[in-house]
Amino acid sequence: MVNKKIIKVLMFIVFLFVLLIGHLTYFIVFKKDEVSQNSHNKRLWAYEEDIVRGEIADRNGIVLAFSKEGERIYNYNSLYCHVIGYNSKIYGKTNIESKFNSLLLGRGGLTEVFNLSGDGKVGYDLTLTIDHRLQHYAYGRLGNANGSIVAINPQTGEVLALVSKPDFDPSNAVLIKKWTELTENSNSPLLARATSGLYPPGSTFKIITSAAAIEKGMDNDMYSDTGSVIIGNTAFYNYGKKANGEIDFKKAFALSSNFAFCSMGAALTSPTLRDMAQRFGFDKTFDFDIDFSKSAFAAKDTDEAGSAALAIGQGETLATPLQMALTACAVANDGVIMKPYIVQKATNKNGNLVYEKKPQQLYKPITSEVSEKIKDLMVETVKTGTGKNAGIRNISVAGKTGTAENELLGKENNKEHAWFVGFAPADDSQIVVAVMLEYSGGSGGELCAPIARDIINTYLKK
Amino acid sequence: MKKGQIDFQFLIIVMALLAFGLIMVFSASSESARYNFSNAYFFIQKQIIWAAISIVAMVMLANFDYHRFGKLAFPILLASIIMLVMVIFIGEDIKGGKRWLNLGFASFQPSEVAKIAIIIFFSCSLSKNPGILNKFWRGLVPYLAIIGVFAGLLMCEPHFSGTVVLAGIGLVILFVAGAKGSHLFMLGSPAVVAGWYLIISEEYRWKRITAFLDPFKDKLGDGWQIIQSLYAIGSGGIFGLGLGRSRQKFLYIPEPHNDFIFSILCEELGFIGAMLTILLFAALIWRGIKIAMNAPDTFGSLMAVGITALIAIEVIINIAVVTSSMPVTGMPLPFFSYGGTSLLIIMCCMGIMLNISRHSKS
Repeated sequence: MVNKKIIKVLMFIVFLFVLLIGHLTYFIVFKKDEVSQNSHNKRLWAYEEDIVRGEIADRNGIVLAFSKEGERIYNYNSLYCHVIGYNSKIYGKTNIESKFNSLLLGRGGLTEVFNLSGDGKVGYDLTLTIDHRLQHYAYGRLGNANGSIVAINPQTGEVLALVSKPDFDPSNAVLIKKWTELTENSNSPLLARATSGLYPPGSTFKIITSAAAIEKGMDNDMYSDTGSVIIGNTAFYNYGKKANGEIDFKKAFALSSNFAFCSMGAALTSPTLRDMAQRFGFDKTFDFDIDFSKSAFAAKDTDEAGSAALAIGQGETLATPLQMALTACAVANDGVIMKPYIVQKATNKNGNLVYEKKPQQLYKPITSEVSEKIKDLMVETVKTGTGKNAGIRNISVAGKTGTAENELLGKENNKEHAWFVGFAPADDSQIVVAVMLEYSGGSGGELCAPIARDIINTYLKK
Repeated sequence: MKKGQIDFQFLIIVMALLAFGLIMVFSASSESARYNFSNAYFFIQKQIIWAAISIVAMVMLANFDYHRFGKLAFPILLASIIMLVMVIFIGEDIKGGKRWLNLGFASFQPSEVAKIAIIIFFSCSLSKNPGILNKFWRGLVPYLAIIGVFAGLLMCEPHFSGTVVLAGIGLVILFVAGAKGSHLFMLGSPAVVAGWYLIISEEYRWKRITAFLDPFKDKLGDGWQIIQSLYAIGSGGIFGLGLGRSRQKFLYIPEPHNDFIFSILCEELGFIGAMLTILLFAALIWRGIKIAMNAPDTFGSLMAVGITALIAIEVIINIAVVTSSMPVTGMPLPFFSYGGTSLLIIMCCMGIMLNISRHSKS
């Protein structure tokens, strides 16, 4: 009698033990990785305390960030806050400091976190593709305006400069002091405009519209531009309502005629435009060395008027300056977008290579024939059109301006975003530049084109 | 009565657990000891001294005829009630609970003594009155009332997990001694309701429930301990990082050598080490049940069941908490968690078990 009941107690205990073992097994098999790689897992920090975090240098070996006595020191204060990011015990890690944490700590990858073998107490040094001289120049050229500059070598995808403003000092001491201010500031200094800012691309989108139009054989059409056009029930105006008269496709592009491109857009329809935008990378993402936002083409198909708006980069479409730079890259590089990258290599203290990025194709949205045709349009734009301010003597510059209406349209304080994307030299492009000034209230041609010109000039006359 | 052989298998398992526990206490506490006392051996030195005292106590009790507890049952019960009352007034307040009595040279938890008191008293009293539990009012209810008194005193500290263990072993002994399942169920339901009320009436207990359901919701607050524990277990993986290589003990949690020591074990020795530990406990419980079944009389049988249930409940609750199988509650892992007096009491129980095994029928 007693023994029977003891057996029942034993059975119950065994039952509970089995549940425990089951749960522990389940955790180890299915949940372990998810949990232990959580960024709040302080093990990564404990590991870091034993290690001198690697240095980060520009492409010419100029040291941008290094560690001394446990402190992360950024030699150029806020200049690289949106590229290298910060490395704070309290606020975490961002950008390169986050994505390349393993290498900076001298490990191959996350799986080796706890195999403390390797080169001991020193992390790996990173070499960026960034040209510090250009970055510094671009930073100064942007001044106090909110906006961004992206410069990429279209032949390789190397990011040469990446500036976003407003910015902040990423050093830990400053973060601790100013964190609340940084997070609550209505200017959002923590937002990296160049890679995560989403804006209507305005007329720079006409590069993509042109690609679709050329593929449809519409590049021989002529337009009698009266300065405004009514499509569906919506009126579209040229910038400043300027009438351009009798123009061909090239002139329409160079003068950024909304009359012509709205008509084109209505004829092309939104699915065609979307298809082309996606070929250039809209609605897609890829692995990049820092976090970035996915640019988005309007999700829903729309009527003629809606398609007309999309063709001139208005409507529901949103793009990052990075995306628009990549768009220009396709034109500059025979229709191929090389995968952009910022970290070219990592070396250990003995100088041995432990990581290297090789140029790699990302997308090929258009054929080289189409890209040549668009290149002509963009060269014309800088030569005679809205992009004249980007012109440089003896260098053939190609470009496209944009002046994008935004959510402030129709309001008292309406101020457009100004855009310019371009590249040079047109026949053998070394550099693609995208300049964007948010809520600038001026046109891309007058505000952004001169900045792009100076950047191209600075880079090519090294 | 003629003395037979002690259960050597049981003894070997106990000594293995004790040794293993000491190793883990050292591994888990060294960093915390270094940090707080500039001496990595601070905790392990104390624990080794207590382990030595505990072994002596176990040997003594292994040679102390358990039948003689019959006469001591009531005095022990009374003494334990007095201590529980005392602790409410002069107890040391550690982290929101007055659970400790300071003896000058050492502190101990009267709740630990209460568990033994219940085991001895219930076993003695029930073995003297066979069949009494068939009666509801004059049989079962008085015993439940004793559990109720202890539970009430423990909740004054307050000590929720202690209450659960004490009620658990009380009910197991009553069940084995013949209480009807239906009676226990009938009376168990209101107890569950009362327990639930106690949980929702205290904000910290309720937060532990919500933290259990989604620990990552409040990473830095109520979910902290359990998340740290899961990180440790996850980091350990199948084979662990190796003894002494836990990261958890580097002050991620305040006292790595206490209730959450099993997470350190998982991190250092991995899934394999955790399974080995659980199996070692399972073996101890198995031998304990054998001793209970082979005991010469009901008294020995009930005591052995009570002690086995005590170990089982504590192990299950502790491991369940550490692996996030149930909400957090402060429960030490027998043999492993740091704490001299609790180790002493466990080892005393093991001594009693060994003595019962000496009188085995077979």
